Amino acid sequence: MPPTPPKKPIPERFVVAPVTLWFDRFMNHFIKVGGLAIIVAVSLIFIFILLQIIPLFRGARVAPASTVSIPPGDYRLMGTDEWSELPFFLEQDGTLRFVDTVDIGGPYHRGSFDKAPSFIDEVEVAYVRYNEYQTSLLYGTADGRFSIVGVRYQPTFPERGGREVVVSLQETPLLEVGREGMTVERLAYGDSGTRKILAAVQRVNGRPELHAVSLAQRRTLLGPGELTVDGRYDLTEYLDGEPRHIMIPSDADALLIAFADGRVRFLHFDGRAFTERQVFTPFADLPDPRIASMNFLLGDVSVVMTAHDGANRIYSIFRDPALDMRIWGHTKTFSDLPGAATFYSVGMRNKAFLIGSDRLASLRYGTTEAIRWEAELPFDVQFAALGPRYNRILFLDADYSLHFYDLHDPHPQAGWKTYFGRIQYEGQATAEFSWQSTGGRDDFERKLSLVPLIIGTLKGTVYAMIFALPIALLAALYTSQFLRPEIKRYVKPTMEIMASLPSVVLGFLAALWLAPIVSNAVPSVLLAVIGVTIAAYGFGYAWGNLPQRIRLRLKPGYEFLAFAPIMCLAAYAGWSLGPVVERAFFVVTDPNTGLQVPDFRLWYPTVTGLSFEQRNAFVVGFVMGFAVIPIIFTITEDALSNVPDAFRSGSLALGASRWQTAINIVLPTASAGIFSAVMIGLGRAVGETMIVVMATGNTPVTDFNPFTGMRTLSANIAVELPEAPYLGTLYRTLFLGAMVLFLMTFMVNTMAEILRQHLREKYKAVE
Amino acid sequence: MTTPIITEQQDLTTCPADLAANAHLCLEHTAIFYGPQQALRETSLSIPRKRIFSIIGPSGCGKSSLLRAMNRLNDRIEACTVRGKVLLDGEDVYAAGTDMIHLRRRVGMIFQQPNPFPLSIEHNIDLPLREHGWRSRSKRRERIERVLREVGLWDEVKDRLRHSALRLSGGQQQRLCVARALALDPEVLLMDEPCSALDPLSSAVVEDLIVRLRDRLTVVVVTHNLGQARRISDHTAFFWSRDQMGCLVECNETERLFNAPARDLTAAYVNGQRG
Repeated sequence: MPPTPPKKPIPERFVVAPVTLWFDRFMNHFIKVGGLAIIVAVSLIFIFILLQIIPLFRGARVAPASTVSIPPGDYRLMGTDEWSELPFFLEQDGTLRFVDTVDIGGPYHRGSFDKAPSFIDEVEVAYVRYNEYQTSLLYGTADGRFSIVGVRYQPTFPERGGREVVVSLQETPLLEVGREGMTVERLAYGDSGTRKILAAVQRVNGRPELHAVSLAQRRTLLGPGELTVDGRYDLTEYLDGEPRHIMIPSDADALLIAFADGRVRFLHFDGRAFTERQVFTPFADLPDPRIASMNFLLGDVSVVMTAHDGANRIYSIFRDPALDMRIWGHTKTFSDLPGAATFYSVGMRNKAFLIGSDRLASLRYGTTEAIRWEAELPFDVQFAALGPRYNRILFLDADYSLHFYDLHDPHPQAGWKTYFGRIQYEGQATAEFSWQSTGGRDDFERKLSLVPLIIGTLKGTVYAMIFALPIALLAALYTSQFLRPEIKRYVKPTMEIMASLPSVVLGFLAALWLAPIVSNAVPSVLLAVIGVTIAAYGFGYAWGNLPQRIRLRLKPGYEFLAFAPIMCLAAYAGWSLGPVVERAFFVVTDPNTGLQVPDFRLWYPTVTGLSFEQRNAFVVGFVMGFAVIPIIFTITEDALSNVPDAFRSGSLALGASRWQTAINIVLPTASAGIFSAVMIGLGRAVGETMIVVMATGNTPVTDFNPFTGMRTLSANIAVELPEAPYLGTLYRTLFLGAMVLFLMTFMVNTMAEILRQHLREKYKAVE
Repeated sequence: MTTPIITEQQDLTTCPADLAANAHLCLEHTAIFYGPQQALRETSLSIPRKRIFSIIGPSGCGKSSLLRAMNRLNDRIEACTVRGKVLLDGEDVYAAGTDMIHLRRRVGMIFQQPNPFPLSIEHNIDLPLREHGWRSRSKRRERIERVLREVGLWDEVKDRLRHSALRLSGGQQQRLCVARALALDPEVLLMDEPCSALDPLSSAVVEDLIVRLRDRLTVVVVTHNLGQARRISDHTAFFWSRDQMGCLVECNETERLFNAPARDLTAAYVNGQRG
């Protein structure tokens, strides 16, 4: 570098005002900060959404919490209260041993205490079954009777503070089950509230017999009355093998009998009689088809089974469309356990279940076939219980230590498969993509596939674009290339006003005004559209063939004056021809009256097998097209008008017609801009919410039928957000939907930008 | 400015009679208006066939407007109206029923800024040929090669015919535009300051090209470059503007106009004293 010459003072007339310099510097930084802030803001939104959805894809976290020793004994089973504070252990004689696990060593610790039904001193208890949902025990006696004993946990809040769970037993009187005096080997009981049935296997002279009773309970003003037997059924004829398990779902309409050879017989109970529906062998394909364990999942619609070699499957009942009957079918397969299941506990809040064999414990989710957690435990498990609140797991080991594990699994149902895979939900005959986030029952399971929503989004967009693209692009081409400038001055602002129409107004119009009209007159609407199109082509052709003399009456650019009335006429003709065409082609038998009626709404489903809804994609496409047209139009028009005039003059000077100039020169040159316009329109259509919320019916379907509705990702967020509990699975799922929407638009925009750059490079105008 | 530039009409502004007989393009009382504003005073001119005719004059004297009236490119400007007649081979191009496409095919035009289309070099010539119904691909290729050779561009671009025409240099672009115009076999070629946007070397190449077109077709060149007009043209018309209205001052054989101008204004202009 040359030596810096000594600074000469700048003559005063060349000195820049300090304010100018300061302002220049300030704006420089201000703009920099502004730009960075936008990038940061977008990134933060992205990160926020990401943080909201990450927990959906985590497994369950299970950690040992504490261990309590319980008095040793020969226990048949273990049960627990809702808070997992006061578990009980059933002794061989039918006594329940409750163990207080709270405040050990404290002054209020209750230690362990026994409670027993009143009858155990009189008769020998031969069989006990525990129903975890109703916390009730089913006792079967050696003399052929049964009793249902409810374990009632009552939380009390003593003055010293905290919570104390008080327990009491409620027992029904002993009732005869079938053969008097014969030992009850197995029991099953189902209670739907209105119908109660109980089945029992009894051993008579070494041979098993199957008996069932239906029970009635008269309700009085003073509460439930006495339980009485009002029907008896001898089902021994259905026993063609040694019964190993019998099960009755809570709906009390079925009886499942599993035999020692691995067959399962399904008897249907219609309130009066049992009929055989199905015999199936769940593990027929295995060398050892015997069933080792068999338990219901929440809802009693699915049965979790294991085979002796550790195979773990779920069979569910669903309506078979071919038979038109509810039968059991294999729906889920899990990875194998090391052997037959030795312990099982069902989730009482969701379709999770805890299953295990010896030391291996596995928390699995019935719907998604997912293993939420699996671990080799450091002890042999006698019994296991999944806390009813799905927050704890209890294991009793062989040394009578009760191990408490904390379970943290806020979103057991979530996972890739739930959101993007086909899942056969309970009651469905096939694996489907379905979205249904709320239902009428407590044990209703949310169906959370995003696929119908993604398809709905695409469907809405596609139909809107089918309508909007040709109109917007051709209108822009016409306005910029053919229309006289003095008319263009009015056309463009008018279109821009159209863009400012609030979409809620458009949606309102679509739902309450347009949808009924269109659904009443589909043929008319279609014919009007076709009529206008044909008229446009016909007019263009005819005009081109008219002698110059007539054509010259209209200045170039005023042709629309001749065209507009013809177009209106064509639209009107199409509209009025609608009913005629409907009478001619769309005649169908009305299923209600049996008459032949011309009705497209009835005709369409009968002929195509697809459904017809009033709020459909056709209407949405039309109205959303209205929202999109002005955007595409304005940007396209600008792009076309910005094509350097030199190209147009050059083309015209070469004797090209206006149309040739527009198509061959102007359109390619403006293609990058037009492409952006289309993409911006597409982005608007993808993200449009209000119109689709109001005009689509929000049915999450997975077809592209123009006469059904749809549910888009954006509408879904708008509709469901009020019902989504903060940080719940649905809440986070909606954020996942937002993320998918974000990624969809992001991908479309990125691809569009790459393509746009390419086009711009290719048709780079003279600078 | 009060110089009485035009006191007597006609005698000096029409071409000599022998030329008029050979006229290809004739202006008869042509006047051009932009809205209410008259841009060109009534002008009559004869442009001889297969010669180079240049139009000189200061900016704003209606030269370009006049040029654009000859292929009716002025029609694109809403407010522009042309009165009088523009006769091409005796037929008024402003007559009702003139087929614009046919007219512009006969009368080609080159612009001040080279304006190749943003397409490939080949496609630039191919497209107009196709637009005019040249179906045969081989014939089109043949024609493309011929015109590119004519403008001396073939050897420079034959290996990159598919490259964008916008990558060519300014002079090459302008020659491509000439080739594009020649491809349609026009009778008249209008050139609106074809060299003014080019560097001197390119300018010389294009100038040579124009000279080569003599005897083949009628060329009308609007130019600011007096030297160029003197070098290339057979006849020259000199326009001047007064009260923002152009008018023809003198029209004559180039030699005479430059060496022995009939009017003082012409003399002052061509000698560089005015303008």
